[in-house]
Amino acid sequence: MKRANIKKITISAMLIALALALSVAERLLPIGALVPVPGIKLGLANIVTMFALFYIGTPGALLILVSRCLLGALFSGITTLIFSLSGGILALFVMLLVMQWQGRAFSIFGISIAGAAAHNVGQILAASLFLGENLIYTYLPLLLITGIVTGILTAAISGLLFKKLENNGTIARYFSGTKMRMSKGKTI
Amino acid sequence: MRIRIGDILIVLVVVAVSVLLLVLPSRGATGTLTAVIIVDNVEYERFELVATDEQLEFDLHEPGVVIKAQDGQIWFVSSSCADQTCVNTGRLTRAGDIAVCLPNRVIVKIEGTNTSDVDVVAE
Repeated sequence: MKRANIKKITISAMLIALALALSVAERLLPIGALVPVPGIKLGLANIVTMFALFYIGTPGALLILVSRCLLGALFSGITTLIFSLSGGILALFVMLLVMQWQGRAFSIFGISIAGAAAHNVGQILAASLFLGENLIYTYLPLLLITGIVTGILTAAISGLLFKKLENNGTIARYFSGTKMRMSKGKTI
Repeated sequence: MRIRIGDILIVLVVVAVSVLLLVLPSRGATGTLTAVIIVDNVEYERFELVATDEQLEFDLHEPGVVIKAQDGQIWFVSSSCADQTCVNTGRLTRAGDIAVCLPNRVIVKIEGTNTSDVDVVAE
């Protein structure tokens, strides 16, 4: 096997594990008691999705996201899978869209908040179809407002983390060969 | 990592959509309130929610959910699910209120006399 491929597989596996760990760990936080809406969460795994979109590319990011959701279903059940997949995939493509103007019209904050909102819309639409009950009016507003807060939080973490990784040479050293979507100069 | 104008625009759009969704349906309709329990997309129970001391209890053994109704309120008492979101939702009192247990596929909601036209979107 080519060295570049091994590197890609290893990095993807590492990021899948990290995303899975984050999504399982954040369930320990009782955010559901604070805002009682099904499927509410911090969305820390989105840090990994954003990282993948920035430094690996769309196909890799999609692979990591889907793998994380599938493996996450082992912990949370098949029902949750429907919502995490529908929300996650919609969020990925919305973030990809917003990223096209990143650095000019939008920063990582815009990307993250738009991603959180898209995730909420995707999961509520899926839940409404799944339950045959319109949940849009009751749950979406709460989810969207919470999404702004959690979106800002994950953006702040991502921004600091990615900048650090760029400045200390980690990105250049380990992710130069994996990058499919080249960004102009510094990403953050 | 400077905040851009587009970021603020996104926040404004999300807030606007949330407010719009909150304002749109006619919540808190007056008149008789009807409590509805739905299990696996099938209506399980429908009754008028009246303010009496009499307590109604629904023990759904299959999904493992206990629902109580009393004093014009209805709520999830306990559930076998992991997230306990349905229990945390608390007591439903107004028309349009809804509590959902996604893992067990149980929905409890209150319908007002004039809310029948609200719930038509996701059929």
